[in-house]
Amino acid sequence: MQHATTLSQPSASAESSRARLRAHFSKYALPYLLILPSLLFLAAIEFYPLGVGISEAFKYHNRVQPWATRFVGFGNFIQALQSHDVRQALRTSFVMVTGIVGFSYLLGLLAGLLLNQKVRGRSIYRALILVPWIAPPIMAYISWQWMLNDQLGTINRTLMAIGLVDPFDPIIWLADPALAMLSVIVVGTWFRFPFMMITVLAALSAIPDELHEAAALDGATAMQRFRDVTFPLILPVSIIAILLQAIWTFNDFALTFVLTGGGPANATTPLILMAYREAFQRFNIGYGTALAVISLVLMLALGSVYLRLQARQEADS
Amino acid sequence: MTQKFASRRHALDHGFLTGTLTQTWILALPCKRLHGNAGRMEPGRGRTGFRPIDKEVAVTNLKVRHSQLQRLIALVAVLALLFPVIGRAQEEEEPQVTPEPTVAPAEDAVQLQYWDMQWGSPTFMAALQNNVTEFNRTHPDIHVTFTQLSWADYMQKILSAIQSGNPPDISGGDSGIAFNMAAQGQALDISDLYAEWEADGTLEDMTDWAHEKWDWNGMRPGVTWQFDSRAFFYRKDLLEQAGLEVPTTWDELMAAAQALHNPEEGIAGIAIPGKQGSYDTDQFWMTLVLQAGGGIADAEGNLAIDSPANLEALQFEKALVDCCTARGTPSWTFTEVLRAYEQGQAAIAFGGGWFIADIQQNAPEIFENTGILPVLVGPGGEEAAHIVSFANPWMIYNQTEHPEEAKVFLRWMMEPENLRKLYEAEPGAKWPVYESLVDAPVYQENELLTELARQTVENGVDYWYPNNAAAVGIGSMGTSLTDLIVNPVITGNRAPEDALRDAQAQLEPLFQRPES
Repeated sequence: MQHATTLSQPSASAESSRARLRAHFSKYALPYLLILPSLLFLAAIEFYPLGVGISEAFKYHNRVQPWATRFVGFGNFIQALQSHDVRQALRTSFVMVTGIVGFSYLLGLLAGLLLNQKVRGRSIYRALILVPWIAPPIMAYISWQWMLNDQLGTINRTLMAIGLVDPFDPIIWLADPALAMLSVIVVGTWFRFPFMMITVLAALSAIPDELHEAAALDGATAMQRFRDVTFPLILPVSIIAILLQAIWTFNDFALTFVLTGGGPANATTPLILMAYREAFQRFNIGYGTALAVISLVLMLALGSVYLRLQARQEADS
Repeated sequence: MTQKFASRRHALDHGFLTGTLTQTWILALPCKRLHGNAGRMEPGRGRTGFRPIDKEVAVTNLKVRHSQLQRLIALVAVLALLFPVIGRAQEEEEPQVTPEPTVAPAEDAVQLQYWDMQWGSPTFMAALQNNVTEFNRTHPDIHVTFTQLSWADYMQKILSAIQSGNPPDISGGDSGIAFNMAAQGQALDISDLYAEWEADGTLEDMTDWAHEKWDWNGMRPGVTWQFDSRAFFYRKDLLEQAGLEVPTTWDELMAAAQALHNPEEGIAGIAIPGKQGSYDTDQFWMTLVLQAGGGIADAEGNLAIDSPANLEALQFEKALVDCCTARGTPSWTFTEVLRAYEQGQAAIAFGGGWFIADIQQNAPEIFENTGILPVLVGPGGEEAAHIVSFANPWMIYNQTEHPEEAKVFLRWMMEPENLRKLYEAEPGAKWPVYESLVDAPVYQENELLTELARQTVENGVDYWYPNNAAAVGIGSMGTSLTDLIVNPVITGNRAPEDALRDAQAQLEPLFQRPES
């Protein structure tokens, strides 16, 4: 009897959930029908390529060795994680992201705070600071590459002209591993800080002036007002901007591809550049895709933090 | 390579416009933020010492400021947009060859698609289009449509077209494309064309490497239509002042570079490319490899990077870099090499044939004192005295529905008279595959052109030499030779022996063949 009861309970429960589902779909048939084309479109251009891409990561697949294509399970991932070059590329990616996002936030914060003041010509400064972000990245990076040229670049030429650099011993910005990484971080920061500035400015202008006035009346110094009023209020937006920048910087293939080519001696080769070389230069689609999937997983982790923070902010507001 | 620079500029032009337009929406952001301050307090008046600003006045003020800011932003954006456009307009030369009007296809004409790279200046591309037009005019039953590909993404485009069952009928590409397509079963065997060329004496006029390279795996997947040659340019005046003879061997090259290297005067003994991720960098080492009697693969098609000859070449390059180049060499491509030479900052420069026209145009005084070194004799002896000349092919695709018509077109394009028109369009950028064309007027314009044309037909080979059994592997290395071997060694981060050993291990999977 007991046995019969335990069997019939799930069966009834399943029946009722099926009924609920039927009722749900009959009630919302029209909305589902309306979003169906979008879903199909998304499936065709997003989910299908993503699925194919991920499946490639589990194969040995080289375009010019079609006869050798085979399923290798996690072989590509194991090979990647055991590779010294991949570990170095991950370190490089981490250093780049930390440096570029960190400095661009600091610079953006500083510029935002300054341009939030009532200074003459503020609009002009705001517009001018946006120029790095308006410029197409490839053009900007090529220009920087020329400016950083050791013998003929504007930067060394200027330093030579004012006597800071020996003309016969120029600074080799892109040929020394440490300086090349510094150059990458400087150029990346230059390109990205306007976004941070805009975000900070937006957050700053949402802070009611009364809060600052009240704090000032209470005798708070400018530093105290920034620490206890301004910064806590722009922090949520800042965190989201930092996360977004981290994702974009991690996936910024053009910066190192154009500026340093990943060198010297792989010192500026991030994971995304390594994935490109494997897939499109060596035609090693399987391994290149595995590297891209590793990158995707890391970015999904950052993305999930971003989504959680955004949801919390929406709940708070 | 010239074609790479040219294509990069092309990509820039297009990328700039779309990139700017898609990003300008963001300009609205700071303007919107200004509205957020409407109705704020102004110090000095009111209940708590603050006076509320009249809201209408504030909004009007903000609107005025908004429109001023918008105008400013628009001005900056327009200036940013125009700047490179103006730059380009000044930089571009007027094409010397103007494209002729294309011919409308006859109703029943067989339609062929011909895709090729952006091989050089607008002048050259106009000449290529003119050849196609001329073919269409003289062959009314066949109509060829020419499509230009960018170096930035040509392989993705061709592979996508193949995947979708819609590749071109005929195409050009990099110097290994025909092998890579053959490995994927996409290249048509044109052995019958070779038989015709052998019968009519065409092959006899063709340099050996131009056709031997494509004798692969029992088939002929392509044919060379032009060489892209490398050379050592040197300053005759500096050599003369130093009382040195023109170097003819590695030892003499080293001695000359050491003698002419003068950092105090800002002159490097020799300028070579060394940047990671660049196709330019490995070309100097490969020149040395060939002259040392080495190669990428052995006669059986196995990878043979880690060979004594290749090691000797690498050690020689490392020694040259250490003693006689600018410190920034590991970040240099041919662009920097050429600029350094033109500005009098290098006594010897390793570069491509396009250097000749560039030096002539931009540094006429230096051009007068420039010579091309004879092909150097290295450890491989006279037999191995080679220069790197990339043999760039045309090929027909297996999926074509009109193989016979495609062959008619290819045969016509390969006629010496038609190739000559292309070589003339951009002197020094393309080198002849026919020995008879060495005497063409275009190669008699100056002694540099004459010398390099001679070296190309007598000594020019590329990475697939001395055999092409490993053709597919060699064609799929990308910038591996640069990234794994040359750049790490010249920066002092890897010992030559270790770099070669690691490269051997890492690249071996690319050289697998079905039978292994």
